[in-house]
Amino acid sequence: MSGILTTALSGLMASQRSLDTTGHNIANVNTVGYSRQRVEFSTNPAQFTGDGYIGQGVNVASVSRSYDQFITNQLTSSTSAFSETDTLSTLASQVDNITANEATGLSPALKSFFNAVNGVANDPTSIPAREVMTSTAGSLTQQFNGLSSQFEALRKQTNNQMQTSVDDINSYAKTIATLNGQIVTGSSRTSDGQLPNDLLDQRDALVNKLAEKISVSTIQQQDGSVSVFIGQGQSLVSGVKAANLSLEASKTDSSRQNILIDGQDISKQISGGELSGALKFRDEVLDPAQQQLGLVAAGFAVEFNKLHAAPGKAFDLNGVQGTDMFGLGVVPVSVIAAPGSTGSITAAYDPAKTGDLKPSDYRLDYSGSAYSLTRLSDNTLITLPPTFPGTPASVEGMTITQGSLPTGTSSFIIRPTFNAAKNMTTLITDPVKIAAAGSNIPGSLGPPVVPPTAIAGDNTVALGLANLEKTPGLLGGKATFNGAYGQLVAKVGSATHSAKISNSAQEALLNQAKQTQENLAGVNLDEEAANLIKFQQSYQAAAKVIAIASSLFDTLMGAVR
Amino acid sequence: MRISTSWAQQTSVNSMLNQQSRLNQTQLQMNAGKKILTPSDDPAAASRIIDLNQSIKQTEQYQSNNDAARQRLTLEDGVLQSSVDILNRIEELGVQGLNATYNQSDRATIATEMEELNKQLVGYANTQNANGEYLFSGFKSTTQPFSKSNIVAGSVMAVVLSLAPTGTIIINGVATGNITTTANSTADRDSVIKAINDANVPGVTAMIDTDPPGSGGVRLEAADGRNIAAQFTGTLTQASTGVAAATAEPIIYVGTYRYAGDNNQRSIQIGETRKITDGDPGINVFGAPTPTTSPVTAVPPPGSIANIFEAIDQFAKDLRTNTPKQASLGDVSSALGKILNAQSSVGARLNALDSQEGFNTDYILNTKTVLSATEDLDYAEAISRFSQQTLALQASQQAFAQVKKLSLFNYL
Repeated sequence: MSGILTTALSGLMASQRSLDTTGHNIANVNTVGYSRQRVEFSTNPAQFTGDGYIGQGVNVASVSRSYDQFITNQLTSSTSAFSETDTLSTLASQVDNITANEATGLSPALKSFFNAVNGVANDPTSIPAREVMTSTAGSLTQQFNGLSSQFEALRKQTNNQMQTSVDDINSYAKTIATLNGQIVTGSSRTSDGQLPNDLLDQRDALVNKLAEKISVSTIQQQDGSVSVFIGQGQSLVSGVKAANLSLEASKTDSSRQNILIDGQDISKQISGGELSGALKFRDEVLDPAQQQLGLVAAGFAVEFNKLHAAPGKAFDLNGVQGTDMFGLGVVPVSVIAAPGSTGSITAAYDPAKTGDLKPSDYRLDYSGSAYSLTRLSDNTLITLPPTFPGTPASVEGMTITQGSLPTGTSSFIIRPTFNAAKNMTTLITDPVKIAAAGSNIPGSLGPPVVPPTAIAGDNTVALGLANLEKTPGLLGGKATFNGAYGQLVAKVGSATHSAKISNSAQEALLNQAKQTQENLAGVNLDEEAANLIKFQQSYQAAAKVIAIASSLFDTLMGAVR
Repeated sequence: MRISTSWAQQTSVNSMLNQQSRLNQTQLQMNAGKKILTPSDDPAAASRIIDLNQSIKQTEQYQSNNDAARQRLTLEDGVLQSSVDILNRIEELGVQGLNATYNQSDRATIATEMEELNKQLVGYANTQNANGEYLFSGFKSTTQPFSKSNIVAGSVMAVVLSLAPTGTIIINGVATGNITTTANSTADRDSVIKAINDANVPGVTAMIDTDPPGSGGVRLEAADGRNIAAQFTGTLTQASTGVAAATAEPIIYVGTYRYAGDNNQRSIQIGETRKITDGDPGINVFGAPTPTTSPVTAVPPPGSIANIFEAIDQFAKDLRTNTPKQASLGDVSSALGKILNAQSSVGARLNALDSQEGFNTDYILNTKTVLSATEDLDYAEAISRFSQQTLALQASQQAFAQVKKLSLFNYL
């Protein structure tokens, strides 16, 4: 008689546990990363009697979660790939919008400036035409500055995003390490390897969040903890220990952040996730765009000044020698010595070779006996003339001059184009000072020096300046100013385009992985409702068995009475 | 296959979001009327659009350059036509004046009319355009090209003064007394003026030059407005070094008219590779005045006077003295020939402007057609796409609402 009660009770208990778990599943239907749980039953060991083995009811063996390591890993890697392309395409489309916008793009400003130059060529004596030219020159300069400052703002934004990602990674890593500790403790509490399912879910969700920031690989350890690796095998979480990621400004360019793990630079090994998306954006979209814009600015200013200030060949409305129309800052080509370098190097634009300018930085290394020059955009070694450093070297549209010989191994970063758009200024605001004439009447002999007189109607220089617009003087004599800017727009556009395409491909893959994962682990309310009915019925049945046992007992008692 | 409830919801939502974003893209395209909203929509086309726009605006600029050139050439054409009319009248007067039946007083009347007409002609030669630029002075467009001069240029004498002369000045063959001055002194300038006036050269007066004001040189004026030859003999010393100037050339000035412009023609870009000159130097149209520099030359005899104003003045002077020369008519008709040449060259340039304008217009139209095909939206296609997408979105929304109603819990 007690057998039937115990058996019924075990059924009641089992149904109750199942109802609990079903309730838990229903409650967590919208919890991110939750894996549905199931109560695993097994029969109690049967009791041997002379009549054979009599069943002893049910026993809750374990509460297990629906989980597949392979599917989870796939989801993690898809998440990294997706958030990388997502970050890249979001950031790149900002540059895309800036460069193409009628209001912020360069083309309209360039065009109205050259229209004004044509106006001066048509009417070299007209002060209003000259006024228009100086004011459009001002707005062209502002457009260059404005584009450059928008790029700067994006660079700051990218750096902030990297900082946020790094902070998130650190906090996730710490939490994963803490969870590792709790899971190890939790699993060792039971002898038969019962797992703390909800903690496992939490940890998996965190690993997935981590994967949004950076590509990770995980290894399950025997004790239930998980080891997380980033980059090319750098350990981020090991047991209860989490490494620390940090950002550090580059020594030669303070606006450029490198990623360190416990003090070691791993910028080049980072792959996947928002962090890599931001790095890729900076290296493959933003930097080339800024360099190309700088190339247009530098090429434009140098070529324009070359004609406008040509000694003895350009004169203003007073007959005075023309001067530079556009400035490129105090030191147009900046040279930054790497820490520990000695000696000094200066560089300047070579107006005769503007077509050789490339949108890139350069590194000049001194080995202790010889110099070597590397173009950083494609890591190409540039041949320096054998006379360098005795005489200044004219390479890549620049003239590199040695100030003093380094005493040991040294390295210099030369940036001909990077800051050109930012530093550009208009030097002439007085319309009279525009040099449109190719000749003047020089002052008479001997004192008193009569000032030179203008040949006011001469427009030869203005015509030459207007022609610059369609002269392919940039990029090896293949691109006009506008053409070079068009290349910038096309480069940014195709980078954005391909980022968007791979983003939507990655999104499809991610959704597939999510679906596989959700189909396995997600909660289906209909299923849970059916389970509710099922376990309610089995609970009711077990209760009925107790009632039967009770009435049996009553029957027996009645018989005795 | 089992489906997770929250994922089923998520996929429906995702699909609606996608439909909305596509619908939004189509809507933006229709608002802008453009296929390409950002370069990334079609990078190759975006960069082509920049080139095409550039090309169109460039050609539009050529058109406005063309208009500027046309305005000036039309003005020049008008001026030349008026000059031709005047020369025709002068030729007529000349033929009358050469008529043997005319007496001296008749000829004096003709001479007066001729001189007036000549002044008018000089006025035409000094025409300014709307910007105040002289049409016929080459690059020196702010300088009046032709002026009737009875002045020895002050600057010429200024050179003498600035170089501390020791010697004499010979004017029309009459020598002054010995002049010794230091450089650049007002007192010495006055002593030079006195020395010249003391020499009593017939019809020549010396005075302080005020052209341009403040130049402070010495000016010589001839009463009959013609033929002053001034020559310096002696030594000139560079004031700054105290060394005798190596090129102490005699200073000479002969002539009635001066051309202050130059020989240049301004070009205007009216097409990709086409430039056109928007004016003519005065000496090409009205003939070069008798040179005013060394060696000393007198105004040549009638029949070989190159400058039209000098020729007419000579003709009028001869009529006044009752000795008109048949050869003067030759001067007038050769001048007429020069002007007609210039006029036909202006006409040819105006024709070139017309043909270039036609070419530019065609070019702009063609380029705009290509641009439109590249960037403009095909509205028929866009509208049908829009209604398709609207339909799809509605369908998704309805399906979502329907499916969401289905739950086993409804029956518990």
